[in-house]
Formats: sequence, structure tokens, C-alpha cells
Amino acid sequence: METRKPTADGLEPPVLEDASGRRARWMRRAGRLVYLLFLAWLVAIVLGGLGLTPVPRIPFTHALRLSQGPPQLAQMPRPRAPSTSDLRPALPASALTARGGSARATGQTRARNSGAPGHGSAPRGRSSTAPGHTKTTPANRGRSATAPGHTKTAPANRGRSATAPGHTKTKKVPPGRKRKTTTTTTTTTPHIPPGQTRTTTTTPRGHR
Amino acid sequence: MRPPAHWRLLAFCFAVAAVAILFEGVATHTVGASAEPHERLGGPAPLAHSRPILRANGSRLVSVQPSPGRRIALTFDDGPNPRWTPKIAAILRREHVPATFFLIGSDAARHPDLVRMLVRDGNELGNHTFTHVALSNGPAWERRRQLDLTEAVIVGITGHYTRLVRPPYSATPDAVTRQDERDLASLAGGRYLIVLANYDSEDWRRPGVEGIVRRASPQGTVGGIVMLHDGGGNRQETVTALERLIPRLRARGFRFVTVSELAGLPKSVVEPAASAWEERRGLVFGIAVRFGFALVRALLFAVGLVGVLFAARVVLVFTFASYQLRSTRRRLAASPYLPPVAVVVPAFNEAVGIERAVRSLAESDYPDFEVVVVDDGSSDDTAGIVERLALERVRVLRKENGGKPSALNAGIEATEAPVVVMVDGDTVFEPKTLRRLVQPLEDPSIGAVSGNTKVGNRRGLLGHWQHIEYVIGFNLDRRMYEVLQCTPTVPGAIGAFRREALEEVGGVSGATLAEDTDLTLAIGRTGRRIVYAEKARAWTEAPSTLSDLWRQRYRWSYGTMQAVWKHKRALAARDPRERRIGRLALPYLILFQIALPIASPLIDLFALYGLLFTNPVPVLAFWLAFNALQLLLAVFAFRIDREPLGPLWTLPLQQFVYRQLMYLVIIESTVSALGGARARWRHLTRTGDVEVKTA
Repeated sequence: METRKPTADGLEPPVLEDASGRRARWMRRAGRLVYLLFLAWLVAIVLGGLGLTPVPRIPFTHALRLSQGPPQLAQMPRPRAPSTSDLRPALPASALTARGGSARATGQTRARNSGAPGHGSAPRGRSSTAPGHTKTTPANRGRSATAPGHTKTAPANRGRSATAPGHTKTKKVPPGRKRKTTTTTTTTTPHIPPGQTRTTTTTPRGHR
Repeated sequence: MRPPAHWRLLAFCFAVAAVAILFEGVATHTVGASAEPHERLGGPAPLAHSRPILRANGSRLVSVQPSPGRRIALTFDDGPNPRWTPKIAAILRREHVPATFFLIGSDAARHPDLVRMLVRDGNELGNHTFTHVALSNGPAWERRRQLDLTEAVIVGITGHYTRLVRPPYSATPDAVTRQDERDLASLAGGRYLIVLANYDSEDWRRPGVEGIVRRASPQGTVGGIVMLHDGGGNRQETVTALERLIPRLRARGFRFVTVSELAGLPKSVVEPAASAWEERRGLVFGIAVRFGFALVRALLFAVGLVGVLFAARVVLVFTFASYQLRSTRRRLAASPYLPPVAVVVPAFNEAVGIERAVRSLAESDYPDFEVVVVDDGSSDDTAGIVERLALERVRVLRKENGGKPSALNAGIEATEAPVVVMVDGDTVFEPKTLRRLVQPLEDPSIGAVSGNTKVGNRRGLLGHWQHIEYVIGFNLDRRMYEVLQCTPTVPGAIGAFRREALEEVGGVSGATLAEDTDLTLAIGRTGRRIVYAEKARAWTEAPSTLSDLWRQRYRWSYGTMQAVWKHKRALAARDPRERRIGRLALPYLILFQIALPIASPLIDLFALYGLLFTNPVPVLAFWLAFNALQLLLAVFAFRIDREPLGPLWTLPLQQFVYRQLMYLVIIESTVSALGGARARWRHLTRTGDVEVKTA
């Protein structure tokens, strides 16, 4: 009100009106810009997202596939075989509980390896299930970088040996087992304990 | 006929918003194909003894993986997640453990920075579909698209494809049925490797930290693939479990590798480089997805704001109206105040209603008043009708057509009484109305008084709706304005003004289409109070057709915008007299009469979306709550005004035509205001159908 000057005929000019039409032109331009922006977005999202339509089976849309995905492999290259150091077995879970793992873990081990003799008794008794690992128990107590007997495997461990104690006795792994794991696929599964296998089959597979 | 450009644009924007919401719904999986796979219980498990990295061989899946030995590949599904992925990545970085992340494409598109961080840390990426759908059901092309879209997003961010695919809802190979195997094999073709797991931590069930650690740890001496999740819910347990899991597995001699290393395949095979074109396309698609999500977030924010504003209005109006109700009962006890009054009736082609209006004024029980009917160059016989009535105290002033403000000014100039009452030419007074209207002016701090306009033609839905609107607007809003001293409008139909106030603001201005709002704001800025006299009733004729209603409301809303713009300086005024208008009245007008209606189409959009694509029960519940609240408010207003509650049954129906009309008209006038359109008074059709229901 303060700045408005009366026009020649003594009347106040109407507020917000723009007789020159410049603002209307500017508005039209802005409108067109918004239109183009949204149109570009629609094209991008529709071309990219046709498969996401809530109504499936819109005819012919599958022909618009843009991505070809990774190139077809005419022949799968031969997988590199694991290094010998990698093929050495790790310690079984029971080995860790032997150093004073939680009672719960021990209980589970018992349940899993039911039938294994000497379980539930003193930790030392567990050595019978993993032959060749008996000597590691003293080392496990330390869990330190000074884990004894590690010198032989150090190169294979690629410098991480300090954290993996008790691997010296790999050669005592029953040869039968080692041979099995490298030749056939069947032997890997026994390492999934029977209890776990059962869970995965019975649970509803709805993640999230 | 093509609708005007701005309506086409608005319809287009509405459609875009609808697509954006729908896209968001699909991508976050509230909409569309069921995420859960069809349960295929029983039957043979053809992959029961396979290692979990598989390739297609015809319709079978065969393992390509050599023995894992003591190597373990940690895998994380359902990410990236802005909350949990960085925590997990930080642990992996600290422990120098590489992992493989199976990404959900829509999440990866939203958080490209997280994906880049994972790659920078030396992690590997895999495809976990775009929206986490089961790859064992739905049409084949749709499943393919789920992989393609994620592929596009990953390529856009990293420039590399990934051949690693983990089907959502998968676990260990022994859970794969023959049918699953066929579906996955056809999907994988020669392009993809299907990556399942040896050790399913089931962390998504949140079995407790130790539970996760136990399930994720190989019991024996051979490693393999461990399945964990970095998205899809609260992953605190996974984060904590990971901190324990890594050192424990290391202590047992396990070594951590990526999936491709475990598979014994070189990076160039598992993550082949994409062409520049594919990379650009992925980039554009990723941006489009982000834009869509940002759009929906903005819309949701606006909807939230609408909800807050609506609730705030209910609370404000209710509180202040009840306060005003209590305080005015005391005020009514004062002695009668009866100064000379000049009643100005601007009239342009009011032949239909003018006789009744003028007669009702002449029959007033007020002792000292004169009525001036200003004929603003009518083309009908308005002036003649009034003259032939030959009523005492009523005179006619003829002038050339110059608009309502000029007619009002002419009337003000032609009279001398210290109080000027302005009345519309179609408005019928009750005998006591003048007395009740003028009474509050006894207080010298009061500059103007608003009467109570009642709808006289309550026929049909439109009449009922306007009646309800008037009752609520007058009995609740105006009481609140009075308490806060920020009345933005004394209605043109009935208002009393102190002459000195009119003179101080220079009479009625013709600069806006809402001269009443403009005048009221101007008087308010002089520091005078403006009050509401609820018992000063005037019966007016409300528009009886949708197009008349549209024209009336267009004038009101465009006029309000003009008035707000004209008085915008009050917003920042230092003068204490202007504060009430600047700090309360103008913000109120801007928020509740402009912003709220402009944003309310979004309510309809989201309501429609909610009803059609999501669970309609909460949507309906919300709608019912909204209506109940409004009904409560209306009942309160009707009780104050002693109106029968009957017409309130039409209130819920307002949601369907009336509300849309109201916001569309605000949008139209906003477009006019922005574009600087020339808008003129347009005469409304009068029927003279006013019925006075004296209480």
C-alpha cells in the first residue's frame, strides 16, 4: 500500500496483475520446463522400469528390454583349484569351545556330535573326534600371536598366521577325508551338521 | 475444447506424482507381485549335495566350485542400507576381511555412495533382484527384468556387471526343489552364477547374537559361504555377531575370501566391464530412481504437513472459540450503545433481491439510521425498484458503473454518521441485527464489527455444504480471530465500521477483488480491534450452482492473495499496531487459506493409492477419523449457533465434490496470481431464494 502510486485516473492499479504479460510468459516457460523435466523422468523410469508395472503381462513390454546383462559365456572357464594351504582343514567348532567357550556352545556341540565318545566329559576328551588336533589344545589356551608350532603353515596363511593358532598338525588329517573333499562334491555337506540341514528345509523361506 | 494449459500441466503433474508413488510402492514392495515365493514343500532336493556356487547346464544347475578348504566367503544380502551397511563395512575394513554384498537394486540406486564405498573397500557385489522378489514365481520376463534393473544400477555405479546372483528367499542348496532349479537355471543361462550358501545364519529372524554366530560358523573343518544380511530390518544383532564371528573363525584357522575367489574364477569373468553406453544408461536409470524416491519423499512431507496443519487448525479453533464464548457472555451485559448509523448498500443488478433487502433494513428496530442504496450503474431496474418503495430513511444514489469499492466509497461520502454499516444488495437483516452489530463499537478501541452471515437458501447438497461452511467459519474461525485480534475479513455482506477508521485507511480500495479482506487488513494495521457479533445475523444468498460457486470462490481466493500481497509489509513491520496482522492474520491466511488447500490434492492422491494398492483398512480408518474430527468441530459450531444438526449428514459427502472444487479454485487463482492474470468482478446469478429462519 505504501509504495503503490495511483494511476492517472486516480485509481489504484490492481494488485498482482501484470498488464505487460511478461510474468504470464515466464510462467508458461516455467510450466514447459516442469513438463519436460517430468516427461524425461517418466521416459527414464518407464523404459527402465517396465518390468515393475503392478499389472504384470502388459503385452510386448518385454521386447523393450534394454540391458543385455553380462555377455554370455560360451564356456565357463575352469575354476582355479584352491592352494594346498587353503585345502588344509580348519579347526572344528569344538576346538574353540575347548579353550573355555561358553557353556551354551559346549552344549550344542554335544547335541550335534551325539554318538561321539567322550563328549560332555573333560574338554580333552573331544580330541577323539578330531584326530590330529589333540596337540593344539594347549596352544588354544594362549590364542596369542605367539601360538606355537605355526611356523610351517605361515606362508600359506599369507601373513595371517598369527591369528590362526594350532595348525601345525595338518599332515595328520586323515588322508581319506582330504582326498574326498578335493574330488567329489558330496563330502562338503557332512560339514553342515544334520541339525542345521533340518532347520533350513523346514523354515519358511521368507526372509525379511 | 482444450482445457487451459495450466490445467493440462496440473493433470500431467498429478499423473507424474501418481506414477512416482506407484513406483515407490513397487520398489519398496508395498505394491505388486508377491514377494514371498510359492511354498514348494517336499519333493526331491536335487542340489542337496552340491556346493552353493552354481551355473546352468540346460535345465539343471551344476556346481562350479572347487572345495572351499578352510576358506570362508561372507555374504550379505538385502542391502545397501544407510544405517547398517556402513557399520558392517567398517568392521570388515578393520578386520581386513573382504565380503560379497548381494544388493537390492532399488536400494542400491538410492544409495550409490554406499555401493561405491563397498567396492572401494575391496568387497564384491552381487545381484539380489531389484525389489527382493522370489525368482521362482512370476512370469519369466519379469524375473529377468528384476535382474536387469539391478544390473543396470550396478553398472551405472561401478562400470562393471556382476555375474553373481543370489535369489531372494534362498538358503542352502538342499532347499532348492526341482522346479526352483529349472527356473533358476533358465534365468542364469550362460550369463549368471547362482550363489546359495553353506551356512545360513538366519540373522533376519534375529535369533540373538550367539545364535547368529553359531549358525554362521562351520562346525567342521571346511569353510564355505556364510549368509548374513545387512538390510531389510534391524541388523544390530548381525553387526554384533560379525564382530565376534570374524575373530573366532580366524582363531580356528579360516581364511576370508570373496565369492569369486572361492569359485576360483578371475574377476574379469565374474565382473566383466560394461560398455560406456550401458554405464551411462545405468547412471540415468539410477538418477531416475532417486528422483522418483525424492519426489515421493517430498510428497509425503507435504502430506504430513497437511495433516499437521489440519490438526493444528482444529486445536486452535476449538481452544480459542471456546475461550471467546466464555469471555463475550460477560461483555453482553453492557448498556445499549445507539449512535447514528449510515447503512450503505452497493447494488449492481440486484433487482431480484434488493426489495427484500431494503425492506428488512427499513424494518430495523434501530432508532437512528439511514439507508443509502448506491446503484452502481445497473442495467436492470435496481434503483427504480428501491425508489418506488418510497421508504422512509432509504435513499438511492445513482452513479456510473465503477465496481463495488467505488459504490461503497460513494455511499460513505454521501453520509455523515460516525458508524457505517456495509450490506450486500442480496442480504436480509433481522430487525435486531443493526442494534447487535453496532453495540460492540461502544468500545473506542474497536474499529470494525463482523456480523454473522447465514445462508438463506439451504437447498440441495450445495446449499447444505455452504451452510455448514458458513456456520463453522463464522462461529469458530471468527471467534478465534477475535481472541487473537487478527481478523482478516469482515464480510461484505454485513459489517459495521467506525467512520474515522475508514477515513484513516482512505476508504475502500479497488486494488483487489476481495475489497472486504483488503479493508479489514488495512483497519487491523491501524491497531484497532475487530470483533465478531454472533447475534447480528444477516441472511444471504449463497451461489446455487457449481459454476457460480466457482466464480465466487475464485474471486475470494484470488482477492485474498491480492490482499495478502498488498499488505505483505505488515509481515515484517516493526510498528506494534501492525503486529497482530503481520504476525498472525497474514501467516494464517497464507497457511490455511492458500498453502493447505493447494497441498490437499495430495491427500486424495495418497488416499486413492492407499485404497487401490495397499491395505485399505488403515486408509479408511484414517479417513473416518478425519471425518469424525471434522464432524465434532461442526457439531460444536452448530451448537454454539443454535442451529439444528440435521444438515450435518451431508458433511462426509463434502469430501467428494466440494473439497475438490475448493482446492481446484485455489490452484486456479494461484496460477492467476503468479501469471498476473487480469481478473474482474463477475456478477453472480441471483434467484432471491433467501429464507429467513429467525431464532
